[in-house]
Amino acid sequence: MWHMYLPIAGNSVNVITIFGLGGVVGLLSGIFGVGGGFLMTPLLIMIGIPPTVAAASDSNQIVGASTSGTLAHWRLGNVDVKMGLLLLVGGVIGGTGGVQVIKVLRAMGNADFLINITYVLMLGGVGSYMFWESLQGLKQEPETSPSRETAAAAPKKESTYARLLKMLPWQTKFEKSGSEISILLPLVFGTLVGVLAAIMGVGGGFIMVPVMVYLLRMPMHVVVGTSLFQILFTCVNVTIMQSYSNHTVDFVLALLLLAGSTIGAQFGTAVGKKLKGDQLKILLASLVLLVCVKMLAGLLITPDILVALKGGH
Amino acid sequence: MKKIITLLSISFLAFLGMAQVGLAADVDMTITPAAVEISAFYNGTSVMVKGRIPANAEAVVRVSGAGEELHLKKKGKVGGFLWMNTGDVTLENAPNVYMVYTPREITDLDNSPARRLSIPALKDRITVSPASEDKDFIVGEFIKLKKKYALYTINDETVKYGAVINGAKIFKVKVAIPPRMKQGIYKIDLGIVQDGKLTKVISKELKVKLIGFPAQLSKLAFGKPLTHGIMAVLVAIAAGLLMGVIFRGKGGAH
Repeated sequence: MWHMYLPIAGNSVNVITIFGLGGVVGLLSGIFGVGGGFLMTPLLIMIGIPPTVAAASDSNQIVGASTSGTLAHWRLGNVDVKMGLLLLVGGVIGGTGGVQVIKVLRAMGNADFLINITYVLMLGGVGSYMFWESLQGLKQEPETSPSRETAAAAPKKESTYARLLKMLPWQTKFEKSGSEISILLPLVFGTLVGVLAAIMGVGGGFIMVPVMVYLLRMPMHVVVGTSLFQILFTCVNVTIMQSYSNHTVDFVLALLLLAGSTIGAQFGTAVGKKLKGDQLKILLASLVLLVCVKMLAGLLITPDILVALKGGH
Repeated sequence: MKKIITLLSISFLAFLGMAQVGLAADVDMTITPAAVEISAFYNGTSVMVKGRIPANAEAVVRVSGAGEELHLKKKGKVGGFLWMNTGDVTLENAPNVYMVYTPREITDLDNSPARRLSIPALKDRITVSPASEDKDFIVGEFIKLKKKYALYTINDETVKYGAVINGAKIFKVKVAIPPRMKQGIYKIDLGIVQDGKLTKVISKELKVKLIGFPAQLSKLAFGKPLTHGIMAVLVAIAAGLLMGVIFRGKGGAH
């Protein structure tokens, strides 16, 4: 009774389980501005969805969750459209380049080794820095408002960085983010995140959020809204491309996930609104570190079965 | 009077049974239902396989799917302690489903002949490339993977026997059709094991097909993939907007 058949995945699932999964991931997405693919895709694979279908249907679901989340954040004035669009343009360029890079890496062999190690090191590094930095922020100024003070309070290196930023051409005012920086910055960083996201096969929310906080110096709440706005467009593109070239989008699965995640995203935004910038950052840092530990465990623990279905077929 | 009528009826039925055994071949098999339909709320089902075999024989029933080409990633240790993908292997002629039903443990079952129908026999059927790979190891791990998804199973003590009439006995077995068995044509084989030999194998087809909503959606996804993708995106956006409107309603002045 509570099962539905997924025609593309070729399996049936419990409606309540999928609804719940969607809800939890939507909640995270509304709070932190991440797509949640890092969590959802492995869980879907665990319940028997083929890897390629899991990833593609999840991006379809993220379209709904990020629409819901972006709308909620928009009402709170947390979406910097100009910044989001520039990051997006960079992301598309980087994503296209990343696909080529991965082809070269695969041809050279050892691609998985490089990807895994980079991923673990980066998550570990970013997570630890964010955790430490927001902990300092929370200790020093318990009353601090969700903003850039903590980033600005960082050591001397930061001011050199700030001076460098001012020297770049095409300085533009980003009102929502409350800053004036060169339009090259979001373009370049967007491209870098796009390359990494394509190589690692993830949406990139995890990398984009710290980049916006530390390198683009945006206030945490605006980061969350803008990240969701940007993720929305990325996932629209991925969904259509996956459906068109690989037939891997299972619409029934996406619908069930959507039902949960669009509600979750609304609650997530409400929860995020009540948290301070540093509190948000420390929670996200914990989550990033958790993913890092999970990946490390996957690399260190002997698998039960020493073959796996290839994702691309 | 009633007793006499009952006796007469039984004798008549027994006679009919004898006549059938005498006339038809001594082995037959029927599958009910003959086809499995996958509708929107499908969560797997079962079919009943039954028929007759000689009284002194054993029945082994096997369900197998078409052989397919599969690309697998092989995992191995890198740098002595990190587990990751260390290469690609291709399997050919690997059945997508392989389920064996036996009346008792297959190891007891007159050894080698019945084993020819069982999972270890797959090692002879599947080919592995590149040829330099350790075939026994790769196929062994692949079987583990399929067993995990319940697509390769050995079901001992599931074939049940009924009455013996004139040298023939009835067998029946309930064959589980897991939801992971996709649309397609599957083969059901009945193997007869007699005096330590596999004396006869008869086969029938079982069709598994999508109907209704899943059938239409699958047709759209494969036939018009661009329309399918755009539709999926539009529905997702609409759902997100709808939720936004509903929640604003709640949080508003009312």
